[in-house]
Amino acid sequence: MTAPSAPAIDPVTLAVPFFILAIVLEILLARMGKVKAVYEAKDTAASLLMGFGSGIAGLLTGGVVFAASVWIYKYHLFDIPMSAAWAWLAIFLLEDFTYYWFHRLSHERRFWWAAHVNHHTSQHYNLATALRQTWTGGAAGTWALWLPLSLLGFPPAMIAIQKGVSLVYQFWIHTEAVRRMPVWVEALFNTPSHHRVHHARNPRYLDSNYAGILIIWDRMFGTFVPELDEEPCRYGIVKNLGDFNIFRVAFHEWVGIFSDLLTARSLREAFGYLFGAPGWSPDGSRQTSTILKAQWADMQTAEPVKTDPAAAS
Amino acid sequence: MAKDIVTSGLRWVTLDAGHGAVEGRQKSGAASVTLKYIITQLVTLSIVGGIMGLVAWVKIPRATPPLDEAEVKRRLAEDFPQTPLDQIWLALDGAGALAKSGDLALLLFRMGDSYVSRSMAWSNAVQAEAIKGRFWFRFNDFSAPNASLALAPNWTLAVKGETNV
Repeated sequence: MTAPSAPAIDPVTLAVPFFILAIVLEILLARMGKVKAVYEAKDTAASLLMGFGSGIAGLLTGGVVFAASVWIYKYHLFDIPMSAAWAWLAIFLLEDFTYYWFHRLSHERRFWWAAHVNHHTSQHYNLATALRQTWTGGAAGTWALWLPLSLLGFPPAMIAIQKGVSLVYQFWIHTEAVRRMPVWVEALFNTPSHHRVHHARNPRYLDSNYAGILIIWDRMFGTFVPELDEEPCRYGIVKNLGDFNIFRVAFHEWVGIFSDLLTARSLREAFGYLFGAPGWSPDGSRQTSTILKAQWADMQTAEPVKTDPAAAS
Repeated sequence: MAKDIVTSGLRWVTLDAGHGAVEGRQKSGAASVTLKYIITQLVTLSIVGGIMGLVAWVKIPRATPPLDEAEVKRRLAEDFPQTPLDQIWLALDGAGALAKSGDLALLLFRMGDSYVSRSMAWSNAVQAEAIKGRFWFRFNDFSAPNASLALAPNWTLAVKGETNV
């Protein structure tokens, strides 16, 4: 094995000063009324502390992830040089493709949603929200989705660098300060507008725009939803959390899964609670995003259109 | 032969087996890495504290004017679509509301500059404990264990169509 197993540079570490400066700048510009941004003190504290805790949690599983990548790489199929431009283009596309499916899985199957949901728990959308990262992602095992890239022959260091680049890219799109990018950018890349939709809880916007860097995957696989000016994004999750406790942010869905498993009456039910869509229940009494979207669609087509169901009272 | 591996900003040192002479260096290297890690975490926490202080100082949350009935209906309609409301009780401080919908109670309560909603059985809602001018509603839900609303002390007496609440 001649290629380096671990990266000589870590894009995320290098970008940390930029993260800090960008957050401070967004706050100050919002204070001066120059850009749109809303910050709430406790919400921001929760986001930043989740980011801090995520770094510590990552250390606990980082060794396993690294060892697995290196082990798989011993059996690589092709020799892919880190010095070749085509190799970097290939890893850019393949890593982003992998990220799309990782992200989609993390939203559409409850076990992995439990690890990812914390990132969506803020009812705000600002650069601090970007740092509201998972504590349990390593334990949930989604890192295994990147192992085929090592098997193909991409050195683990190369994969790690590209994953870092993707994470750094995704920081700046967590903002309301940028309304729309030029048309060609919006067509090709994940942008603040596309990602606002991803963080929205409006039924119209649920389970969409899973992209990391390139939005083309969502367009290809039918999960792209554009942001509409007439329907502003409402951020958060379908059932928002009742307080800012970071342990609740990190573990609430895991506790929910555990509670449900205790009530499971068969293996089928246990499987459904673990790997069904978030909101799945044996009797259908809860609502998955598919159900919520269908209800919303029905309301849109109902005649006469009744926009305020509370009007009857 | 020692081989440096740099990952996530930390320098790791791996050693081939049988090179006892470098054990001392390995131990001091590990201590150095640990110290560097602790310092990095302390600096990070300081920056986190600084940003939290800045946010508290600049005060740029959403505006949260007292809720009125129309706003409560609008917000509950978002979270409980196609759910008719029989009656609404606004919190005295304007920071929440309770609504009756058949045998369900729909609650809306403020969290920071945002709102959270939950539903519970009406029969449980009317048994909410009153503590220091607030009614405490307990949900069987780890994601939102409870909510408190500053409702009028005799709010249960005003339930339409019920005489024995």
